Amino acid sequence: MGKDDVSLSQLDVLREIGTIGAGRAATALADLLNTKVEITLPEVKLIPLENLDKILGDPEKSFFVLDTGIEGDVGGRIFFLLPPSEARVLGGVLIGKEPKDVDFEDALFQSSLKEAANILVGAYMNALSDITGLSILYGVPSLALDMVAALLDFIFIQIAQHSEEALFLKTNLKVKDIDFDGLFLLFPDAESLKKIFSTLGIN
Amino acid sequence: MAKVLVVDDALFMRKMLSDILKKEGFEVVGEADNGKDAVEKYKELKPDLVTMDIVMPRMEEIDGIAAVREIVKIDSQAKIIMVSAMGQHALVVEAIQAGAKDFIVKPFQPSRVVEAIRRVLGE
Repeated sequence: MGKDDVSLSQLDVLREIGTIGAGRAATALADLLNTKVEITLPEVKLIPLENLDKILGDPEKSFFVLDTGIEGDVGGRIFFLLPPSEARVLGGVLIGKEPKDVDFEDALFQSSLKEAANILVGAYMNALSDITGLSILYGVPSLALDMVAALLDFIFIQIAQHSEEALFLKTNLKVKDIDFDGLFLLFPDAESLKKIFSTLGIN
Repeated sequence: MAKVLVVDDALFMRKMLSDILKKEGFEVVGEADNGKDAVEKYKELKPDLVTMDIVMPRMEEIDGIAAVREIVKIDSQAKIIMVSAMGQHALVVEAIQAGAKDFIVKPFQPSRVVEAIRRVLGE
């Protein structure tokens, strides 16, 4: 299945999953932060892996990347990307520090960011699972600060062996009047993507 | 004062849970960041209750659910509450079958945590 094969109805369904996931993500993050969280409707696209560089931009730009494998009825991998400046603010809220005082090497900061990202990923995966009725189990996540170039190398070397496309979801969160742009990349293996659409009655 | 062992691979979640519990008057007697350590600390500290993260890295083949099985083998009356994320229903069911008494879903409100603990402790 290539980019040109993605019909409008497939994108409609993906957008619906993104919308439901966004609502759940906002609720989950609000509970975690104990504060109001606003979330915009996400931009959703299905992107061939070879076009990811255009989406991610400057190869020297860095992101905090949460990486977790998924298994069950849907196999693959998920990345959640957050720019360092925004990670500093989000992590700071979680550990009760001013952004300027946040140390990226601090184990508590890294752990808090990993939990927040993991909870957001869980909200979206939960929406996908509920809508499709497919079981999606995710593993132990890891978190790293990586440059786009390194991320793309990893995607082309490791992920391209099993996946041809990424489900790209860009969402904007507003916490305490600060905007966060989080990027989700779901790399379902080729069979899983077919299974998702087939379960929804879309070929 | 009930003694609680907090098990989670995430430092942030251990701190969050410990802070909630201490504020409510529970004694956090220990923390563990993997299933194997949780079993060892259960033997050593004999807590009244354990909060156990459901997804943790395997340490010598012991993850969260395997740790529940091991603890229940040691103490059939062990009171264990699983801490899960959304969408982990299947794992929660497996953990309950293994001997866990209840579960809470991340992210949690402090009141939900305390309510589950008091219920399992029979308070």
